Amino acid sequence: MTSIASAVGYDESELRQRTISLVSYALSNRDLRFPEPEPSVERSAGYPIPPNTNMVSAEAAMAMAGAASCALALDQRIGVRLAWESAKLYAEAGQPYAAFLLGALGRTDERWTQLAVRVAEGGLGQVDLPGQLFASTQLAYLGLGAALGDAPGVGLRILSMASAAMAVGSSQVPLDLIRDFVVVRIAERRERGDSILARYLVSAIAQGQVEAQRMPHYRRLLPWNVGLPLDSILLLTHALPAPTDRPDEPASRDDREDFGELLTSVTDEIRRATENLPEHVREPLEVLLGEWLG
Amino acid sequence: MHVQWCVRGIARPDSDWLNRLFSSAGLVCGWWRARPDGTLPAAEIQLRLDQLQLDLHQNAFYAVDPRFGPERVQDTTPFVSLSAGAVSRETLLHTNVAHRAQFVASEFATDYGRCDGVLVYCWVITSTVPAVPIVGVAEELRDLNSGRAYSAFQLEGEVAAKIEVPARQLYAYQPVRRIGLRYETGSAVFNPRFVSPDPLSEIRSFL
Repeated sequence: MTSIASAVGYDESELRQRTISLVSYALSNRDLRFPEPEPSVERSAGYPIPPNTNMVSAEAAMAMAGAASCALALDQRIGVRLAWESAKLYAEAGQPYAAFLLGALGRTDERWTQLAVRVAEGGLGQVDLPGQLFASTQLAYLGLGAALGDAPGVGLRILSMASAAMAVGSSQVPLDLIRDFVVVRIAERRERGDSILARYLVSAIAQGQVEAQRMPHYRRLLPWNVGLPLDSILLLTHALPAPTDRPDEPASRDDREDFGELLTSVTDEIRRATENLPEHVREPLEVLLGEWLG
Repeated sequence: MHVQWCVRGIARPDSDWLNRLFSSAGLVCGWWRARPDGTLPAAEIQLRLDQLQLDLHQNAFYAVDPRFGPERVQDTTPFVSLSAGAVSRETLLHTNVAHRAQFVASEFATDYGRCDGVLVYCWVITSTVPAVPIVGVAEELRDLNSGRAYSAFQLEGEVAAKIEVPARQLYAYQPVRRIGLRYETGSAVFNPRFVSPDPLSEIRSFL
């Protein structure tokens, strides 16, 4: 079967190099500093000042998410591991997007669960909440993280607090669609099932890849501009039925269905990698990415 | 007007060039660098410092120069690319993201982690409004409040100096390379003739 990377027109070698560069930057961006003068030289008041810690942490988290997006188009096991590394960095930066990544990867984190419960029970009126939560997208990601993780009821309550008119993530999914998906998930006690959300995401990801091919050859660290869009792919993995729940279907005929098949195959691999994540995280990144390092 | 600190990433620098950097003319534009006799026809400078040439420099660096060709823009440009970093509004996460100058410069200097390079730290005078024909003032291409034309490259955080960044404004250079999964910088080599911008006001760091 054609790889998802070649299907969307990526040069696989470039994508591997980009992954390595972004991981390296995420792991070392704290060390890039303006070179201070030797002690014997008086420091000028006009020298650059270092960026604040939060900014550096958030930048590292986003670089790692960008690396995960690149890798997901090539090797889902590596992509999932890098998504998990990104979640840790987002958590360090205090951004609720970490809750979404962790929930989507089937991991729970007491800190984010407690925060979700507090918000669901007490609303946003509490004074000790991270400032980012007042941005409705971040609030939606907190709710989505709980919904995909072990607290779907809490997640649904938080999602109900966000503006119904908003759209979430790189595929701009209408919030109503996400709420419906969570409601069905809770009611049917199913972990995953076919849904309108899945069909929406497949279509949106396909459209996004067409647009990406029109972009100039310029590579940024943002995870929705390189490789596969991290948030959409992880959400799709939950929205598509697992292999055991899928009916046998006749072979697809048009390009869109072929792309849907490729995405289904990618999400199957992501599912397997997610289930084996506790084992994978014991492998150092240098070993995981050994072949790509050359 | 203000002073802006910047970083320039240079991949695979020639060791002779690096050794002479602080006693040379400084960082010079592609046009000057490509001149066979190493001299620049001063009278032509004013012909090249215009908005079209700046647009080509920012958006079509590797294309054939339609006016001063048949060379490519990289060899005809009167501008010197520097990065001061940029901030993007990422509405998907409702957050602002800094694209730091040292990151942009490191990726250029190492060809995205493939080779060794250097980061050169310097300062230039910039303006809050476009001043393309004025040689001594660098253009803040990263600033959408002054340069409003769309560019796919805006997040490189470019500040475009003109003709040269004089050696006395070069603070230091620092080797950079990717080792395994880390970008590592070596000991900086400081410019003994560096002139600090301290006496001037409105000094801005790079991001």
